[in-house]
Amino acid sequence: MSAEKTPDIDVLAHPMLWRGKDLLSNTGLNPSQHAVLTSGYAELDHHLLGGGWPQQGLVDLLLPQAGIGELRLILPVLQQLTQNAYVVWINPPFIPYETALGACGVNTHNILVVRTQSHEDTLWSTERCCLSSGCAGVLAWPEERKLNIKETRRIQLAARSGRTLALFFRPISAIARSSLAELRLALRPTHSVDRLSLDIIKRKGGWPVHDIELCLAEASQTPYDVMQSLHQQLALWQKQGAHAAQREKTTVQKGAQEPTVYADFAYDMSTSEPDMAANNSLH
Amino acid sequence: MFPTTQHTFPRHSPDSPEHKWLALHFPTLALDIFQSQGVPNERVQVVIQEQRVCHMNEAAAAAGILPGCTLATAYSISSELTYFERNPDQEQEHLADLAQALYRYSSVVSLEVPDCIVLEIRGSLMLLGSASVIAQDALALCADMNHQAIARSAQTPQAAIALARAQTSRLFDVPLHVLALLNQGFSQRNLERLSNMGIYTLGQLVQLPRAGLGKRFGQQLTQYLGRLQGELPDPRQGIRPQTRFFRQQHLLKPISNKEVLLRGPMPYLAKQLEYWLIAHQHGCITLRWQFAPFKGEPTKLQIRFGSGKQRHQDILKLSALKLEQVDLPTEVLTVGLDMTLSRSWVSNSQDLFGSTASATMAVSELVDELSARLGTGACYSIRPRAQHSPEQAWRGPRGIPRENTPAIISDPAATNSRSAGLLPGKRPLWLFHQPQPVPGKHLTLLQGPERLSESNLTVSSSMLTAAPYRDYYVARHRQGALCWVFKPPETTPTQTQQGDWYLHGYFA
Repeated sequence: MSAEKTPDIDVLAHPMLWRGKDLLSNTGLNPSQHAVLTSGYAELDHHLLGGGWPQQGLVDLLLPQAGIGELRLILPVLQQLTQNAYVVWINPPFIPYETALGACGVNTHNILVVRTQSHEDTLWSTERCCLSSGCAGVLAWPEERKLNIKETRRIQLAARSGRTLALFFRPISAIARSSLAELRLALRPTHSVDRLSLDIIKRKGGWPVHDIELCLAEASQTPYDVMQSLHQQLALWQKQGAHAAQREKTTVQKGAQEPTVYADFAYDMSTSEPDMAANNSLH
Repeated sequence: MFPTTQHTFPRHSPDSPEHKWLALHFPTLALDIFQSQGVPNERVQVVIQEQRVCHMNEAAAAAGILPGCTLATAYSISSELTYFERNPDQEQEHLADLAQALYRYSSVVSLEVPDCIVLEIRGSLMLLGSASVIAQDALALCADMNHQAIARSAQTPQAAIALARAQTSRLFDVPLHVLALLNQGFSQRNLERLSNMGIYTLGQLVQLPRAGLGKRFGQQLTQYLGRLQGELPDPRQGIRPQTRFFRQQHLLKPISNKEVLLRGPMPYLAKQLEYWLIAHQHGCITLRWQFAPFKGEPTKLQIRFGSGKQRHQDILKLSALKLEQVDLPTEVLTVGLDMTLSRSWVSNSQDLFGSTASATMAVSELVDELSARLGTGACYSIRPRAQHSPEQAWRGPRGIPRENTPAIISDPAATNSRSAGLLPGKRPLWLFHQPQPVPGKHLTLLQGPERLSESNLTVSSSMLTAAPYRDYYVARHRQGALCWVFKPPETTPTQTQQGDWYLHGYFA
């Protein structure tokens, strides 16, 4: 009598068993629901479901302060979205500078800025823009104190039904508050200005990921960046040419630099003044 | 006794090509004008003329009120009666409005007072199909404007009017010769004389010899019969389309609720505007609503569309958004709609593959909505402007840029270095409205300087005035942001008080 063999079946590989990570493998999914836009950063794409930003739905970006590289992070997405459709910026904290955006390859003709007076108007505008067929993206800076979870749900639904990517820029303190966004990212500045550290707090098809470091220069190359080495060479020649004349200027005051182009240097300034006023104006 | 002659009506099939005229008869015009003013139709209503009931609605007829009875009798039958004094002037105004709306079906629209409109449809048959299609469309349009109508077509205008006025319940298939003489505009005396002769229908009447009829009843009757049969010419004077749309709706009861306004008088006026726009092949660009109380100045509401609009739903959607923002008089008694600017209608068809053009269309509607709720100027595009200082060189005109407008590169550094054959320097993605003072100890300079030395580089801030140039640097703030900072020239007097540096943007 032969011993009864148990069949060697990997239960976890059974096709009837659905696991969360199956979302990553694009099988068993409606592909139109998970159309993605490449983020332009290979490492970030690797961690996102489908290999990029969701093309529809709400994404929370949590920042300790404005200006740490949040726009450079989304520049590749902006480039793609503005090609054939509009992107609306609702209550941006500063002026989106047309010249700079254009230099980075964003079609600035397709950017609209909306200013609202109240939180209700902000949400109403965000929802309307999400539902409009002409908008592919909405960038909104909502009032954090008044924003509640129901409203994030509503924007998320509007963005899904309107096939729009909605981005909420919120302070880092919102990390503890629930949000029904598809994806939540917390951004942190690093010691290098060209690098940005980010945590994925919430994503589809996976656990949170911490401490991803992106090189922002990877995706935000402007013609200026490309030509910088040439500029430096040119500046060197100019310096040499102007060397004699420069020596004669003995009355150059402290801190005033000769306007030669793009000489790289770094030093610390030392004056005593209260903290930066403009830096606190975001939140 | 008259000898019988061979005057007969030619018979045609309903849609035969000879049907050149369509007549619309409005039997309840006297009552309908009050219903379009916001009176519900369910209650017992009569219109009186010289203290006698001349028109009534179905509820009144069901209660047993008869035309011709006195108001007291009517009251005794139904105590909940609402009565209106007949207003012939207003009836004619409404008839003219209807004719304007019907202008979309024909270039010759003629009024037949007091209660008919005649359209020459021969020229429109090819475009719109058959006479019955036009009749159905026209009836639907009249129903939209709160008017009940009877439509009949025939080969002469007079015959079409006769058929419509006869108020037979069947469409088209009633021969003209069996029509009764009642309601055809004959005087009461002539009707009595004809009935004494045993003449009750038009068929009997046309068989009588014309000469004798003319002698007894006057040339008017024979001319009428000649026009009816197409033997005499019947030139009709068409209405002239109005070049400007302005309609007012006087309400019987004052309205104080915006919701009621949006349900009642405003859709009515918006629909009229839609008919007007379709008839003129125009799209509305700006319009003005007026809400007037009994006494005092009306509240005006200006509405602007990015592209021409025709549908009343589009017009109402923006009007509703805008209406939320304004305070109306407590009791609105007159609502007016004035179209102030229109453009030739360009049909916009959505293309199959969602290109930029269709996105622009959808966004133009979005911008209209946002501007209506948030105010004009709340929604704008970013475009460079021919200004020298960076903070003034960013904001473009309101709305969406036209495709063909060339962008003006106005960044002084861009123009400077371009002329020198160089690329512009690095520019921040975030720019501040006003440069902010920043303590230098928080900054680590990374690149620079780049001098922007164009003339007129001025800032309206009192701290910085008439600086001849600025030296811009790329610096890192100690909190991690990459900043665009500049140092004003040493000549700035307040420099020592406010700190050395000004922050002008972030390389976010």
